[in-house]
Amino acid sequence: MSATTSGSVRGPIRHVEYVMGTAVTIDVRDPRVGAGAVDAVVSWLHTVDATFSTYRPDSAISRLDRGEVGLADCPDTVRSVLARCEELRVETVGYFDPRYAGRLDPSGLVKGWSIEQADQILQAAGSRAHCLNAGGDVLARGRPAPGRWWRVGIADPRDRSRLATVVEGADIAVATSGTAERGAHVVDPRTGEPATGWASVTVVGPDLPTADAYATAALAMGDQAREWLAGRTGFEAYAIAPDGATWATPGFPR
Amino acid sequence: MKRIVLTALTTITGIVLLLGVKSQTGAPGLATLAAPGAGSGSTATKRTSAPRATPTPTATVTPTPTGTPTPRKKKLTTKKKSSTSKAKATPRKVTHPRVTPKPKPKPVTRMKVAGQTADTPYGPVQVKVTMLGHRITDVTALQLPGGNQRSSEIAGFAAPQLRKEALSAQSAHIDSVSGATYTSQGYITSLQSALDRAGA
Repeated sequence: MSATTSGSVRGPIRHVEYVMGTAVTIDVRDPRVGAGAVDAVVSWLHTVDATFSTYRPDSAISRLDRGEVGLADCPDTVRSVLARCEELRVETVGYFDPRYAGRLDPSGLVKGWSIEQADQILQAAGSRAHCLNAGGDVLARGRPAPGRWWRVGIADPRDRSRLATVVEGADIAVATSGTAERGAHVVDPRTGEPATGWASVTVVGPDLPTADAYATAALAMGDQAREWLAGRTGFEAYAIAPDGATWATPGFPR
Repeated sequence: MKRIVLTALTTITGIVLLLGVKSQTGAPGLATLAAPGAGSGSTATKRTSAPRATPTPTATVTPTPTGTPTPRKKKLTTKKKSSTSKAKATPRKVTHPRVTPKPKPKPVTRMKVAGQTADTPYGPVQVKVTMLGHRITDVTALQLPGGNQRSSEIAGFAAPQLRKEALSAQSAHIDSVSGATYTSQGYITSLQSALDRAGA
C-alpha cells in the first residue's frame, strides 16, 4: 500500500500499518530511501506486538506476567523496556507505573519506544527526513523539505474537528495523552480514580518514549503537573483543561 | 528509486530540536508566531547545551486562534510569466493599460476513491475521499463501527468531526496530528489508504 510518485520528484513513501492496536503511519520523505526500509519497519512493529502485547497470551510480556518465564528468559528488548519503565516510574513519582493494578503492562512506553527504534531503522537505511505517527504519538526526523519544518497539529480534545495549536520543528517528538474519545482512560495510581484535571497534555521533546510517559504521568497528576513538567529539562508541555483553558511551560512558544 | 545506504551518523543524542530555549540556558529562544498557513522563514540553529549534552530544543508554534486553520485556496492553474515587456526609457503615452490574457485553467479531474477497511477494536472503518486534482474536497464514511451502543456513540462522535479535521489539516499543510486514538486512527488509516490509491 506504499505510494511512491514517479520520476525525479521527491517521492514520499507513505504507509499505514494497523499494528499494536493502533494505526502507525510511516511517512518517508527522503528520496534516497526505498520501500525495503519501510518493510523493515513494518516487520519490526509486528515483532514488538508479538513480544509486548498484553492481549496475546503467548507474548513474552503475558508469560512473564503469569510467572511462566523469568526476566532472564525474555528477549533483550523486554529487559531494556522494563528498565526504562522503572526509571520513568521513579522520575514520575509513581504516576507512570507499568505494574499498576497488579498486572504488568508497559504499553504506555512500548508504543513510543517502538517508534524510536523504527526511527533508528530508517536512519540506518539512509533516511534523514521521515515522520512516524503511532496512534497520535509523533516522531518527526529531519525536515519534510528544504526550508520547511514539520508541522504537527495538536488535536483539540473538546472538539476534534479543530486543532488546538500547531507545533513546528525539526527532529521533534510530540506525544499527547488525553481523555478524548475513549473517555477517561488514565487512572491516578494513587487514588484509583480516573484523572480529570486535564482534557489533554502534550509533551514535546527529543525522545518519544519519554515524552509519552511524561504526558501520561502529567495527565494523572492533574494540577500538580505544572510544576513537575516545568522541571523536565529538554521537554516542553502544553495542556488543555476540560473548560478549554490552556497552560504551557515557559519554553513552549505560544 | 535509488537506494544509497549510508551509515547513520546521527543518533538520538545528535538531535537538533526546535523548541523554545529554557531560560536557564541563558540563550534567547527561537520562537516565531505566524498566521496559520504562513510558512515561517526561520532557520534551524544547532545548539549544544552544557549539561548532559542534551540538545536544546527550539520550535515555533503557530497558535490557531479559532482552532481551525484557515483553508488556503490553492490555485490550480499553472503560473505563467506575464508577457508584458519592460518599459523603455522613452516614455510613451499609454491610453489603455495592457491586459495580459489569463491563462486558461487546466481541466482538473474529480475522483472518488474508497480506502481500505481498517479494523479497529470497535469494528471496521472505511472512508471514501473525493479528490479535485490533488485536493481533498470531501471525506465520507462508508463503514463505521456499529453493533453496540458505545461503539455507535464513538463512531458518531469521531466521523463527522474527523472529516473536518482531515479537510482543515490538509489546507493548513499539517504533516501529522498528535492526539488521535482508536476509531479516529482507523478513520485516518482508511483515509490514508484512499489518498494513496488516489496518488495524492
